[in-house]
Amino acid sequence: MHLPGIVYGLTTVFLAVGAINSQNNLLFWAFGVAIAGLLVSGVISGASLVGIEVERAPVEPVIAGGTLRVRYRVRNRNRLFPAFGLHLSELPESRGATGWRAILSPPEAFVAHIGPGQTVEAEARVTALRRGEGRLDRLSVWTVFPFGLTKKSVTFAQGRRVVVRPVPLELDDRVVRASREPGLLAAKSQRRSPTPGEFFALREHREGDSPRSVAWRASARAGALLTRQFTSARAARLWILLELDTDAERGERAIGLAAGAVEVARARGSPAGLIVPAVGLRTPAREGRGHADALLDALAALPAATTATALSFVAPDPSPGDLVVALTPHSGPRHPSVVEIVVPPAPGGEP
Amino acid sequence: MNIRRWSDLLTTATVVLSIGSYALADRFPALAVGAIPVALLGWFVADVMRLALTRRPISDLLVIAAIAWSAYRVRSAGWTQGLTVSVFCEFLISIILVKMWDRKLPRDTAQILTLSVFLSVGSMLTGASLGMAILLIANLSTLLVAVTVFHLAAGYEAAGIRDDADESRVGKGPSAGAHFAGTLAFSLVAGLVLSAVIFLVMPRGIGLGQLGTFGQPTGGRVTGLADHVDLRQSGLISESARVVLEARFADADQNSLGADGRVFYLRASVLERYERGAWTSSRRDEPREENVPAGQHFSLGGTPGREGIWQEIQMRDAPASTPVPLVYRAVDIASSSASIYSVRARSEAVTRRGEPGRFAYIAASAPPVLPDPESVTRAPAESRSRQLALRFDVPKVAQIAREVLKNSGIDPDPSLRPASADLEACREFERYLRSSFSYTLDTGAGRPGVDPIEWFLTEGRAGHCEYFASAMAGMCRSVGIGARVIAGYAAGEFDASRDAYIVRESNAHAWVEAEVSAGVWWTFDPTPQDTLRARMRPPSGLRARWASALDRLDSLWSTSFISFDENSRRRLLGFTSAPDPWLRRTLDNLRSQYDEGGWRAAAPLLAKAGAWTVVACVLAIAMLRLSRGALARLVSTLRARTALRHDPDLARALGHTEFFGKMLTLLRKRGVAKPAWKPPLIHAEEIARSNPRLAEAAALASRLYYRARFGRHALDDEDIRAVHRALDDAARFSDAPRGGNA
Repeated sequence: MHLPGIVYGLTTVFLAVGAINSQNNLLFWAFGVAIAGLLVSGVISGASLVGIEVERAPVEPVIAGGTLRVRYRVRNRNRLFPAFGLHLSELPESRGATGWRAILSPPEAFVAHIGPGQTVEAEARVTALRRGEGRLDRLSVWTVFPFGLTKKSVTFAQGRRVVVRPVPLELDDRVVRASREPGLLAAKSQRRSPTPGEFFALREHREGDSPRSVAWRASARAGALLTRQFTSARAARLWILLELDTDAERGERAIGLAAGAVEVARARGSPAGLIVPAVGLRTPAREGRGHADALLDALAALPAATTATALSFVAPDPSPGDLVVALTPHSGPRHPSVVEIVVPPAPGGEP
Repeated sequence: MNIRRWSDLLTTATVVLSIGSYALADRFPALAVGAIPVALLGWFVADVMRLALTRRPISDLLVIAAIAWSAYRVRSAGWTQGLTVSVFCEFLISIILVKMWDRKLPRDTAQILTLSVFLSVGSMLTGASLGMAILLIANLSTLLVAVTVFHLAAGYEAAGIRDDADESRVGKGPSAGAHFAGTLAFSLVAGLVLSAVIFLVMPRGIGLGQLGTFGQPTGGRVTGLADHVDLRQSGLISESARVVLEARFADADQNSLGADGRVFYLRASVLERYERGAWTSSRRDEPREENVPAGQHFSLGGTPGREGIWQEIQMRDAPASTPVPLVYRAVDIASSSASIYSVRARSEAVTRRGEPGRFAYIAASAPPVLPDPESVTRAPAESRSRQLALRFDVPKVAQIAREVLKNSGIDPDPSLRPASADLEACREFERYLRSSFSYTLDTGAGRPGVDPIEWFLTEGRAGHCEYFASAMAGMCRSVGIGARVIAGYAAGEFDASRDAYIVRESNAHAWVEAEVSAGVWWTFDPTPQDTLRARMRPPSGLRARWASALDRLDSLWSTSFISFDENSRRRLLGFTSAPDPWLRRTLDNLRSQYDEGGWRAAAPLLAKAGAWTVVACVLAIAMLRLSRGALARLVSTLRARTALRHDPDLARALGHTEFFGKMLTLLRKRGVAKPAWKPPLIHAEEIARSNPRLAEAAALASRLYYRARFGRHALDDEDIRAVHRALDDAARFSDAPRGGNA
């Protein structure tokens, strides 16, 4: 019973009292109609939900501020009763699960009608409020059809990850300029299938190296994995070093700049890697749309502020032509290949 | 047309029907003529044209103005008198009209529909005519569809679908229209059947007027010919033109006495006992019964004499037991069918039992003869008859009666007033009532705690014949003149072509007989005569024929529905001898204690009844709560059994899956019960951190159960042994909850 139902119940009680007090047969009948309405409403609402199955489709990531689409496939296994007015609402996360309410407005889809044995699709469109990662955990299908007096619902437990990526911010001119210098990132002419340059040397395989660069025969002979090194721009990579502190607003801006850097790398078709010492995150530098999406997803999941002590950053063996963009709250001595972008504190925030 | 347009259209139809039914109930056609076009225009502007001519602040101002105007109306008429159903309903209509022009959100439509429901209830409190009932039924059907469609339209709004282009986001299967129509038909039929059952089950006659009176007279009775007059009960005076009987009157020489303008009073019930606003027949007036075969004469004693009146009467649809309408005191009756007559010794009222249907009889009556003024006497004060005829104790009525007589120069004190002046005193009361009070059919039941006759004479000052007759009888009794109320028919519609009086249901009337000399009961009719004659005017022309056809329906409606009471209910359900329910007795006692001593006197009984009610409610709630889980389990078991009966493969696969129940029990004992909505594997994942061994066993049991239930694979013995072993280990080694008993 929800609020309109309670109001209806009270009205019904008043009808009964009025009928008894006045012995007015019309009121007795109206009371009968009121009770009948309640019963019929309950029966139809309940019958509508018997046999309803819902499946939530995977949710495509979206950039903060954009519109997120959540699609549902609804099936009515009931062989007799059609269902009307089904509302599909996402329930708040269960205890311990990652929430979605901080990053999304509540998704609500609607199924006007679904006949016995039919399957229909419905879609909810919601605004992605802010960057983050959450999990749509439980889904409620409810209905107040036909009279809005009783509310019946069933809950489905279906986990789906929802990612709201940060809005990419425009990067400092130095990065853009650096990315255009010959021999650096801009040296690449093909994005998808770059032509390998000349062989330079073999070195010990390290974590993050592409399996494609493994020299299998040499490795077999040496008894250890060896990686081939090339001299061409194939090795030119963009490393994004993201340093976070306790200023959440500054952290958000830094994450947005990092997303901008990922987009630059994606636009240039360059390999990009992300290093966030505060959370111990270090991804390999790779190219391709999938990797860029993975970096953006990783950025979506990052906390904006952290009190963790920053791990000392060791440049990941920068090759000639690699560009390291350090997004940092504090200026400091850097390797010559590092473009340092100091993210200013938020107004009124920590100096 | 999309669903929102349909919703708007149906809401508008509901509003129109609600206003129409109220206007009909309140006999206020100008209201319908004024309000319905405004509502339709509002719909056209706001929904069809989609123009926002009004802004929310303007609407709010209009609502405030409506509240202020209603408050002013109530205040100017006095808070107790002015707070009427009509004021409230007109207020509702004004709010509905404002909302019709300013409908932006689904909430506005919901409010309009809700107000329409309240307005319909107001109609029920205001009138009970057949026309209004037909409009109400149409209104209910439209309301049902409107509410249903509204909830669908509201779903579109909730999902953020604003225009037709977005509608692809809404799930909608084929054959929606047919399914929708089927669901609506089911709702209507089921609703009507259930409401009829509840209508019949609800006991009647309990709690009447306990909370005072609201609205116009629409009580559960039709004031027509009755064997009692209850002024406390609001009622509907029948205006039906249905012909009840035809009568011919002749003198001793068999010359017709019928003439235009001449009225004969056919007395049916004699009501002598007045108690708390109700007139009934005296219980001590023992009836004498006589079984009279068809065509035989039944002599009641005496002779008609030269002044006697011979009457030939045909009742068209007499019930099995009915008072026999007769002019004056009958001395002889003969009927065309066998009858058992019972005649009351004192009042000489005649009742007949026999075959229902057409009943024809001839009778001779002796009119009372007024003695010479010198020989007028009063009945002995110690006679029971006179004591009964004088029993009346309403001081205010007595005061008014004395004033009326004093103003006419008649001594109100019976010990000082000569007996011969009683007739003139009665005529004075008759004149006073005819000239100082007005006739109306729209009468409430007075004010609780005030005698209805006192209320009529002091506050109401308008009423129907029962009030006039009761008031005169009360006034006569207050000044020592024996008087009684007579219920019957006033026959005044003379059809010269047939030399017969046509008596219709609307001619049911009440008047007074006063004992103007010992044993001489003289007839007085204090009801204003012009109104009475107007009611006797026969309908004529094409309109009359049409009205007659409608009238039959109206009569059926009134007699079978409006006047449906406890007796009708018991007859219909077949338990006529059932005792009065406890509730009725309690409420009657409560009412009488309140009447005698106010709330203070009624408080102990009220507290006792309240305590019992609370106990009953608590028990009912407890039983419901206890039975809810059991019911759910029963339904689940039945469904499972049905499924297994139709699916032998599944039954075989599920043959040895009792371990699943064992797992659920174990989880519950360990304080991590699986919620009904949560799939067991997900639950197992969630408890893995706190209780890995238990989670592992639960996951294994779930997987095996899934394999049997959904994969329809019969489990092998090894699997079953393994899962039982895992569950036993989990039970042995996993942590029991703090304070648990596992």
